[in-house]
Amino acid sequence: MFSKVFYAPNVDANPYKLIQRVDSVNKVDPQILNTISHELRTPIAIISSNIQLLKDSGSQADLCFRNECLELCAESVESLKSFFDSIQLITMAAKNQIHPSFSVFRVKQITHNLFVVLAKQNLNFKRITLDWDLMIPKITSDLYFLQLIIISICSNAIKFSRGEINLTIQTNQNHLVLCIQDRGIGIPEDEFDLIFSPFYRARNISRIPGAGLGLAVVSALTNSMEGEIFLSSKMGLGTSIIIRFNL
Amino acid sequence: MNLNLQSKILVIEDDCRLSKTIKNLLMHYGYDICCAENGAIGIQKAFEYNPDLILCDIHMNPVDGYQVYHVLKESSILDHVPFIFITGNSDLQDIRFGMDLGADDYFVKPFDNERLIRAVEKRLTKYRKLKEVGRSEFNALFNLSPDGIFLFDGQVIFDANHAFIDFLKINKEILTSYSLEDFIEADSYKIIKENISMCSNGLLNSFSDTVCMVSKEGKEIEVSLYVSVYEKYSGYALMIGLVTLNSSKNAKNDVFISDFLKVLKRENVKVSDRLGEKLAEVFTKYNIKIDRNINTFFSQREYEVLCLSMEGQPIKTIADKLYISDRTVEKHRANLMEKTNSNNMIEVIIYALRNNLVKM
Repeated sequence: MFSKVFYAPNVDANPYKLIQRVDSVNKVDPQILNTISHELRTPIAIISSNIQLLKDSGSQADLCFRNECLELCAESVESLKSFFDSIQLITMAAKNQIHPSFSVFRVKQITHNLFVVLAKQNLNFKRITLDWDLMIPKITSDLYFLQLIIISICSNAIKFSRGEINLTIQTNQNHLVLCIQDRGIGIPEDEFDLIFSPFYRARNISRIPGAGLGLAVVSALTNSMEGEIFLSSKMGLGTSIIIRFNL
Repeated sequence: MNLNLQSKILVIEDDCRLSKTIKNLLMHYGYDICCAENGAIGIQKAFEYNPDLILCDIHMNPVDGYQVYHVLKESSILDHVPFIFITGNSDLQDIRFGMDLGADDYFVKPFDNERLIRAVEKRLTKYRKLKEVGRSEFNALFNLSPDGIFLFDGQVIFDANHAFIDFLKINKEILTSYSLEDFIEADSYKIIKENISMCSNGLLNSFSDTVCMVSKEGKEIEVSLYVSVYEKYSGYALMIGLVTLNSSKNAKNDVFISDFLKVLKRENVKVSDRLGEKLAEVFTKYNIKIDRNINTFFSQREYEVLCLSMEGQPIKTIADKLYISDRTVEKHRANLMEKTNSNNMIEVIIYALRNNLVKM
């Protein structure tokens, strides 16, 4: 019988082209990849484990048990969704694609859903004391953005401190001022600017779980509304953040 | 005594949804589960709940998984309890680090349910064999004892020895259909009822009283009843009861009881809730102030070693921090244990906290 002989094509000739070493992966900070992977693994573990459990228990599982499994899956999907929402928001902000939509509302509506959302994230909102100092009760701004900002800042304050947290909301003729003060672990001064970039996590919180997206979202939203962020922090004593918007 | 006790697993995981999921999974396979939401609480629960196996996350605050491992290793707990890490880190170096520490196994999220269960089962089988050896002495006492011994959960009697069965003239086959109340005269039972419920809720470790027991034939006999918690589960406790005839009470009998209690008392460091909280507090503050004025009970070096140990630091890290050798650290630890009459570093820490030798 004939045996066929294949010749290896000549790589030096056209149409072959040497692919340059792919180093785009190396350009991504491995720490960021680690954070993302860590952040996604837990909800995926919950979903995968519950699905296996539902499959194995089959039809014998009682309704209450099945509902709990499904509820856990749904909550994890929700947390994955909010993770990607944050990423989308930050990417859009980087391309100047987010724009506030202004409406007139009562200032007190800003904290309308705050405690419910915090409770859903298993954060102890009872440590927050809320103070109002309103010269004008109604303002024109983006209510949804303001709510997102407050939720994000408050959940950080709860996560990185133990004692009381003061949230003050003030208005005067020219400004809306949000001020959050905690007595937590503080932010290293040389990292003040860095902590607002996506996925960046200050070096003193590596032990506390999180994705490092909260403050990036805050700064994206604040910038889109032309607000300003002021930060003051002492290591081990606490942090206070003031966000000011023109009215 | 041949009783298939439910195995107890402590799950230390800070994501409450994942810990609920793991709890459901393990309960589905018939285990008793206790959950802790961070490392500090995990350490406290390890002493309180006395688990057969520990599943532990790594990224947690206060006190991460590695520190939990180090602290428990210091105590006698990890001599016999398997320890499995579950983590979101797939970093190979991280995995190796965990295994180098001496953990029994390592799972990366998301994990396969079946593989996790298999690993748990494998470790538990090994652990059970070790436990059986320790029980042989107990079994001998149980079978040969002239006094009645029985195991119950506050009501239902699960097992009893020959002496107890002969004494009350009952049929061993249908033992579990009896409750302790059936054999004790109503007024007597009222007196001990409160104590039994306190034991099963974990508020009391043991009690003794004189009660009037009634045999199956209706014969009333006055006896001394000694009840002690045998094994705590989440939600209930198994208790062991010892019945001796009051008439035969003599010195020899007392010796037997004290022997029996010694066997019952397995090495167990008791940490009360308040002390546990204080311990948790210690772990969260990374700077522990040493107040030399309080006491000169420990030398300065011993103080330093103690404080670093309280932070859950391994011997090697302590040695590096204090610029001394591993062996010197071990020597200081030995001194600390000797001075406080403790078996392990946890007891030293508890001693120091109790006597305010360390200031926070």
